[in-house]
Amino acid sequence: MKIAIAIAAIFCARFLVAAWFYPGQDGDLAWQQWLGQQVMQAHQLPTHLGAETFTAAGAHWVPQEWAFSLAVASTLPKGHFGVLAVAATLAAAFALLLTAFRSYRRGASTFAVALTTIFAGFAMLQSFGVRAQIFGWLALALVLLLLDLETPFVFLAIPIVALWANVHASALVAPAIVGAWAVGTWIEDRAWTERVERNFVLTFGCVLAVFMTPLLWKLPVYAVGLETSSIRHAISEWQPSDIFFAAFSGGVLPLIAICAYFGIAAPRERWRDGMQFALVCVMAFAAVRHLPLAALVLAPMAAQRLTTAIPAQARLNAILHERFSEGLVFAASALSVVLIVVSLTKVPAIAGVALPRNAVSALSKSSGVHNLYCEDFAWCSLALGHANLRTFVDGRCDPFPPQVWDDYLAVERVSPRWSGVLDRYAVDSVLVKGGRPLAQALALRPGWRVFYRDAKYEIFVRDGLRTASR
Amino acid sequence: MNGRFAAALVAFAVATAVVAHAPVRAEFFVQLQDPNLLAAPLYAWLLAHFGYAFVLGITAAITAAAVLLAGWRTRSRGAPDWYAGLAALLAALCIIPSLGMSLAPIGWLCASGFCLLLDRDDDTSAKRALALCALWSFLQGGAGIGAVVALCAFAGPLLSSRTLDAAARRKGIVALCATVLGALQLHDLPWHAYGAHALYLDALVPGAQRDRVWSGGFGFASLGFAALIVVAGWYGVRRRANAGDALVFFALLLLSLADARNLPYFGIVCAPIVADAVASYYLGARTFPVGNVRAYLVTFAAASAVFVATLTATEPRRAAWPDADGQPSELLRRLNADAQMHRVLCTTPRWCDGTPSALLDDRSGLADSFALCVQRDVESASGAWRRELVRAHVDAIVTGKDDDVAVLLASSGWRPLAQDADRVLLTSGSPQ
Repeated sequence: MKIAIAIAAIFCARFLVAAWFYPGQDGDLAWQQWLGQQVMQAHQLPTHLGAETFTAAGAHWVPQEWAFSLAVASTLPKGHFGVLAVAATLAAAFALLLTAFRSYRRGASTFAVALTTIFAGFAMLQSFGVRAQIFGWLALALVLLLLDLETPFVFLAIPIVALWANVHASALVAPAIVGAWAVGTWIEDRAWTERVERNFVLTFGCVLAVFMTPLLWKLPVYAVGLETSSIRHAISEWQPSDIFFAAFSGGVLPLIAICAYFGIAAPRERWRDGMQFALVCVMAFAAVRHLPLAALVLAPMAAQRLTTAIPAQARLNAILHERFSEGLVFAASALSVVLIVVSLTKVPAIAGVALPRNAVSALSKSSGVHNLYCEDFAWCSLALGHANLRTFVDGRCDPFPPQVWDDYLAVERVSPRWSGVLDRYAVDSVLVKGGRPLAQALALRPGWRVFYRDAKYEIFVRDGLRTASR
Repeated sequence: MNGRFAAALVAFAVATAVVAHAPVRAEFFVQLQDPNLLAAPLYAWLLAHFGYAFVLGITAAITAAAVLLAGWRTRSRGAPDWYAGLAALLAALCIIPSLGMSLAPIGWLCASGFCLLLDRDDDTSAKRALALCALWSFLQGGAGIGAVVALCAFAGPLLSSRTLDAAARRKGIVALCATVLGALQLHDLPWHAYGAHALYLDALVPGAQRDRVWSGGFGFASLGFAALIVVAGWYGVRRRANAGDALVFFALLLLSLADARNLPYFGIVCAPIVADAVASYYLGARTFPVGNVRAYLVTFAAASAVFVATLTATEPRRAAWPDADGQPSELLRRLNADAQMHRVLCTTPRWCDGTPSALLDDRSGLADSFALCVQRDVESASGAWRRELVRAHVDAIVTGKDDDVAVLLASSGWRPLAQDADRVLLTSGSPQ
């Protein structure tokens, strides 16, 4: 377990660096800050999109990340974002540590715990950020630990899931995971035992828990609807996993391989694990965003089975238990932490600003109200704070109607009707990345001119720039 | 084998026939153009003499035989019929997305037979395995899979026992020969080799055609793949203490993730391993099949003959290959009819698989790393893609009607020559 702590410390340093510089990397924080401020001012959750968008004003909205948005609004504008960054880092680190602890509790050897912790860390690395779902990882780790403990305290999972649902809609996986566990115990016991009954009651409790938000039934309906939504195709995290994703090939795939080699259900009659394995395997292959959740479920199973090949008394584990080895690992961990912090803070891709803040700011300073189309909808979140900018689609993305999404994608993919869409919606400014197909098309299209250009971004505006009243 | 298993296989054969009736796979035309694959002229001869329905029936029968052999392999490991049925089902799920007219079923059958022979640990089987591998490399382009399987079957026991005994030496020789045969089949770089392929690993090169098991949604490919992984995860592929099985499983798992065209091989080769693992959990003693293999073979051949004869008799006779499924054949024919020579690029590489032969020489002129670079840049309309088009002397492009490339080319003087429901053929007006 000590070595797992040393490994978790390394990932923690990596998470912290990413979290610290996160406002420069992710446009979502901008709309979350805006939403948080709206909630603080109105003392209620918005239910519809407002005039900040010109394509879908009045569209029904389920602001599922309201709690996280309040946290962003309470910290980011006041310069206290570091608090939130540290909280997100600790949430991810504790999720990793709890997973290592579950492996340890299952009797996994030192090497097995360390190896699977590394894989789980890799699976989390790619999706990590100061995002609402990170707190979901911690909630899932807690629920899984309670399931493993198999005590009456397992019902604490219900309030945890309720809290999780208030932070992020990914809480809907909790009833499925607990349900899979319940089915597994039923297969193991081959009868309706007290344990089986308790687990099914717990599953029912978790189902109820996802309704315990200010959004009530709207949250589960929203989450289920998202599964079939056309917007999934436009969001990278909803794409299926591939071997080119480090989180998959370096994290979840090795865990699945260990499980497939040793077998996790039958050899020891652990169909609880078997059912969860089936569920999270499918989830992991289906969407990149599920990879960290899958890793948190799979790591202890893999560690436990790996221990059958490299048992606790094996020479490798004996060496790892020696005081000198432990000291060496901790020293290496400390050195890694320092190196990560020092080196990554100089990497532009992490510590730099990747968002078109200057471009949006420049447009907001021009007179009149502008209808802005952003090639990446997340960039338009930056416009929400500017009174004279209205967005086509922004980072809130979910509430925009399918027709608006179709039109957004027609422009983003430069389909033949792209300019017709811009005309129809009276778009007068387009934010693009230089050199991309849309930038090339705008440059060739009469009636558009460059209004702003920097090393990365360009804003095209119509020649006779029209303004609209808001 | 009892009636249940036979019934399941007959059902699969019928399903195969039904599904195979619809599509001709685009890669079939690439395979036909490979002068080193003898199945191509053989199929052409069969088409000329017996008609398309006959070739289709043969293809369906070969597919069913591949699944049958996967089930038989499970049975020959001592697992009862139900487990053989499970193997057949898992293999069938992995095969279904790739069903259709192509030379691939020959490879599936060869892979299934090769694995069956490798499982038998004697000199005669080793020689037969090598003969089958040689036949495979002559007929179809996937003999490299045989090399991978043979290498894993050799390396697995060697890693476990760390002794090079007679059995290990025998497997080593088979692996070596299979590797040579697989390598020789690649008579050129993978992207020049037409029908032969290097385990489809060239699909990982940016700009090359790549199929993914999980490409959004939940289809037969993802279902078959997930089913194999989940069942393997439940029972463990090392249950029979055969490290070779585990190595084969993981090698083909990775190959399937690299390109979904390897998925049928994953199913055919690994479904028996997984079903055997399931059986080893539930069974105390193993029962090996009794009966005359030759008699089974005759029964299957007779059933296939009836099936092929019925199909040939009931279908209208046609002596030409139909258009491949999803290909822009009309567009390419229109271009081919043009008096001028053209160099054509398809933004989805597979669309050019059905390129008429008159255009092929020009296309092969592009088939190098620069061509892949052009392909990648044009597909994403990024980099110096316009200059690259000029450098590569490309004067015709087939692209999606809604693709950015179509719009960008149209705004810079390229004109649409023809179009179908989804795609447009654009020419620059300056043929090379």
